[in-house]
Amino acid sequence: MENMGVFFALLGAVLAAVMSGIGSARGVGMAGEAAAGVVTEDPSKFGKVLILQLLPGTQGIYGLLIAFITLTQIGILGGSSDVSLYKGLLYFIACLPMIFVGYWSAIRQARAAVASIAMVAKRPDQSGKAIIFPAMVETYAILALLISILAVTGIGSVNI
Amino acid sequence: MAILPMKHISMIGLKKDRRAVLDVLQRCGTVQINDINRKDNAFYKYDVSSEKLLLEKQAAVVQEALEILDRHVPEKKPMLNVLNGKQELSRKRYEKLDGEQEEILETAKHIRELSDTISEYRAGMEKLQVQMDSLVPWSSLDLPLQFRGTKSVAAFIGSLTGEMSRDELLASLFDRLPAVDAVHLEIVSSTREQVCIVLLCLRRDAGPVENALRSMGFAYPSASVPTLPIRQMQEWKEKKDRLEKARDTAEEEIRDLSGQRDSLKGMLDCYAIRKEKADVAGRLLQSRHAFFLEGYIPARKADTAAAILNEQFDLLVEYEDPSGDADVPILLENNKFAEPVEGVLRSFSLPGKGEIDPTFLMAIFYYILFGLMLSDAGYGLLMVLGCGFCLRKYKNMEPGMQKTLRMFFFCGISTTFWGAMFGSWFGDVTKIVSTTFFHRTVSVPPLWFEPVNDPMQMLVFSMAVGVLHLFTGLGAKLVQCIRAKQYKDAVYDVLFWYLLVGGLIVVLLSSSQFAGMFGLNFVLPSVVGKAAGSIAAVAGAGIILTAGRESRNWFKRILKGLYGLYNVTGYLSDILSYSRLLALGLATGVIATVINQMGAMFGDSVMGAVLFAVVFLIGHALNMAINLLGAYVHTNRLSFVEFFGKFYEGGGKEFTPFAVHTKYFEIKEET
Amino acid sequence: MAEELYTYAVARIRSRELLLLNSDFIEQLMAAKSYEECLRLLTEKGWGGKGHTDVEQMLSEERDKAWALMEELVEDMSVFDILRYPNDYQNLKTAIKLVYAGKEGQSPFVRHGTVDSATIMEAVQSRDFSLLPERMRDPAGEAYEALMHTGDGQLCDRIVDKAALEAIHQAGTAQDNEFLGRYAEQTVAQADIRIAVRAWKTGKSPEWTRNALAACDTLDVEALAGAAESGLEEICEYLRHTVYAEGVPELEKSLSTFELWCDNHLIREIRPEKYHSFTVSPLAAYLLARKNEIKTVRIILLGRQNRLSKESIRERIREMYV
Repeated sequence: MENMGVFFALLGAVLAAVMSGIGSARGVGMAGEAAAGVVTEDPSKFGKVLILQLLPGTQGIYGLLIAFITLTQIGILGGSSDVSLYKGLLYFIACLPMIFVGYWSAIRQARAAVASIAMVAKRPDQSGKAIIFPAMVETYAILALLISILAVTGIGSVNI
Repeated sequence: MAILPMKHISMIGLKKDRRAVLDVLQRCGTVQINDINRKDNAFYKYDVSSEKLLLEKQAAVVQEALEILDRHVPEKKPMLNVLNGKQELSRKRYEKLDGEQEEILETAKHIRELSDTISEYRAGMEKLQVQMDSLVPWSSLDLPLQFRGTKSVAAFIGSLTGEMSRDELLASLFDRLPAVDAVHLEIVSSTREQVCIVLLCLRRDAGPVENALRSMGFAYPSASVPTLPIRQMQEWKEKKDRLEKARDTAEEEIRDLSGQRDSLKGMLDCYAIRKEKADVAGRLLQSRHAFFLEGYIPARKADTAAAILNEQFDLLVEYEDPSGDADVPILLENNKFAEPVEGVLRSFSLPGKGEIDPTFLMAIFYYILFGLMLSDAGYGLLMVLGCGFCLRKYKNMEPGMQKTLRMFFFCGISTTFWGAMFGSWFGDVTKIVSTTFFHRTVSVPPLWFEPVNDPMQMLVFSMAVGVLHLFTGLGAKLVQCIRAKQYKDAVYDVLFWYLLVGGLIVVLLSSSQFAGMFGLNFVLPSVVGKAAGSIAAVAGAGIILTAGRESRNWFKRILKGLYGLYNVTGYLSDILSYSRLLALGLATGVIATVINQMGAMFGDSVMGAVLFAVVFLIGHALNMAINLLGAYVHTNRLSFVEFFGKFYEGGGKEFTPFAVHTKYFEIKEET
Repeated sequence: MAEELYTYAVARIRSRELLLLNSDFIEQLMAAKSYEECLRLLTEKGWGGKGHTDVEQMLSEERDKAWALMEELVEDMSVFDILRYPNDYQNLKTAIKLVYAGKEGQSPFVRHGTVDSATIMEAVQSRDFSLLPERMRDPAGEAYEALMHTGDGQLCDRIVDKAALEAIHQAGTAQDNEFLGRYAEQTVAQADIRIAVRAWKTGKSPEWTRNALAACDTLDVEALAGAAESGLEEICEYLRHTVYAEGVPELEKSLSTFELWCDNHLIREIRPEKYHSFTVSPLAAYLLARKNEIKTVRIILLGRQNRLSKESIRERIREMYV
């Protein structure tokens, strides 16, 4: 039972990477379809829609970031992996914001990106504004990332 | 850092000079010419649609010729061709080109004809090939395909589907024809799909034999060939060869004409220039003997332009300050440092009426925020070196491209600075390399602190930058209000908010609980906190009283005021939004570290070093690309949403002067 | 997400929508000095690329272009069945009449149905209606018999038209896509209203009308048929209690203003599709918009050719999608 601490912490870390990764993959894929549609009709818009396509991709990176920080904290990447069950559960909980918000914000951001791509198709001069709409969604991924980072780095100094 | 003041310019000239005046104006490129919609009996508008249509048609021909040339003789483009900018073309050469219009257009038409004939030849050759293929099964036949026999012997030449030997064929034929015994069957060729046969029989048996054959699926060949198949094939082959030769000649001719590419490109530019001129000519008013135009010109160029025109022509030029409600076009002018972000500003919107040009303020924060988000000295240096090199090497670059590079150059400097502050050089590459390969730990210490080890401090710093950014935005609003002499608005909408938000921050800073939470090492004395608290309270009361000041009804006014005060939550979320500086900065650094560790996994050996180099190159290239994009997007967001949200709406129209806009050549004026 | 996603296709349609004619362009067409200038303006917009000067040919080429684009974008064209069925039944009518008159021909058929027109012709010629899809078999047989026995072309039309409406209604209810379902319902209901008004005008028996009307969800066919017997007043009175109340004032003016209202109503209904990014509805909306603009251009061009006054052309112009 003592070793279950590492198990939960690792579970949290891996799920953060997995869920955000799946979200970003679906998101970038969806936006990619729309981007391809626009470029088929007008190849000169490639640069503009490429940026929009990549926007939902950041959640995957954030998930990776949380996973990595957690892994270093629990000593899986070298060092002693001595984590009590209680702490392990805390790590798991700390990863939750990234797990859920990472996944859903990527999907929702992708939908906004698809709509923005359609906007660029019709009004290429407004591409500056089109980037902002999906970026608004990303704020919440960033906030989740922030809480996860603060929580994961904070657990180490909790005395239990 | 300013919006250039504009003058409204109008002129009346003689109709005979119209063309020449427009020519001069186009070469000066400083006047935007308005579309005049007033009409009266004396003045009318010139219909340019047919002229424009003709120009477009001719340009389309030349364009097509260029595309054909590119297909046949692809142009060799050096790498980084975009950076080269346009080639120069002297005014004299341009005028010569303009004079040779007819010949060049003829060349273009000729190229198009050649291309058409080539496709005709090609189609012909394909058709012949198909015909030849259809005769291949008959190539060994020494009779014409249409041969139907002599007076006493009937011949059947044709094919049966399916694979069958001669004996099988004969057997199945005799099955159907018990009465006939004299047939001669020869198999010309046989494949899995069909058997080609020649069958001879007596003329009198022809009827039943044909019926029997048909029931077996016999079909006459579809190709009608009067001569021997082999001879016919030979003939077609020769015809095809002739076509091929003709095609080669035509292609050769196109290749020879590829020397004309530059003339064609120049011609396209000529057409573009003329089309713009025609377009402008359609905006003027003219009477029987005079023309009238109006537009806008940057104030400081008005004198020179007027002097040039007056010197060459008899006309009347007048310029004056635009009337208050006129929709004056916007032209920005900034120094080398701020100019590059004009493009980003333009993609948001140009300053509207009564707004200041925010480029300079935006630029300062743009570079700082970008640097904080990318925050790796290694990546920053790469950007500085790359952009710096291109800027030095390619002097002739397009202005837009140059501005972009310059922007990333400055962003790179800022990135390097912040990277050094936070101790990130390609992540922790020195530490990893030294421990893995030299078994000693050498790390570059941060000039300030490492965000990974102390995210709270970084968070506080990010928000402090945010507060500064937002307050600068509010300051810009203050300037705008004062300029417009709306002093009340300046107090109600700006000063109160300064006091409220600033006061609340000081209150927070004086609470030891807050300091403990964020790990601050100082706490303001509580007296200061109390004083700030009361200032904030006064400001809050002021906002409640004034935010709804457009309502006469006091009840409504207070309600609106309360709603206005609720906006303080907007400030909270704006400030929190700057936490992305921490998140994105960490993302770059941590992933760079992961890449380094992955590279070091192969251990200390020659192979290990090679693999490290590979992982390092690919990994950092990817990381840099994705984080550049992230930094760019989120810097834009912070500028557009948080910063501009405080003072800037935009909505101005861009100044689009009547000038020479070319695609291929830069026409150089001789002075 | 039960519906299939058409992200790529919709993005392409978004770019294509830039090429649709807007109301400014229609104004330009109206303001053009001559018929030739109208043609030139259309050519500049990329219409009739093959240089046809014949209007009908140019328009049918535009129609082909729109369908060809859809075939490229959508793998399973059956989602557009609602839009394609009318062509099938149109061809069925043509085929039956050709056979009755003992002629053969290719040209009178329309394209873009779900069944090849040659198959329809063959089925009618050989009286082997099993060649047709199931939904067409019975009406085809019935209409064929009716025409052969009575020689009454109207009866034959009535049978086939009703079958077409029923097929559309059926396909509409089977649709996942809410937009296409609504379109089907409206098409059927509006057709019913037109049939009822015509029946009243030509003094048809209530029996006839009842047989001609196709069932739909927003109209009570019995009540409509009953009203058609009494007169236009009654029809309008009945319609005032339905969702088509808005169109009643137009119907009171004339049938053609009512048709204009129907078309404009449809365009207004499909406009929000410009902002949807995933489902098939923007594609369908694009097809309808194309159909609508081709119709409008045809009205203008034929009007100009026949020197109608600008006012009378303008009265017939439809609203544009973009």
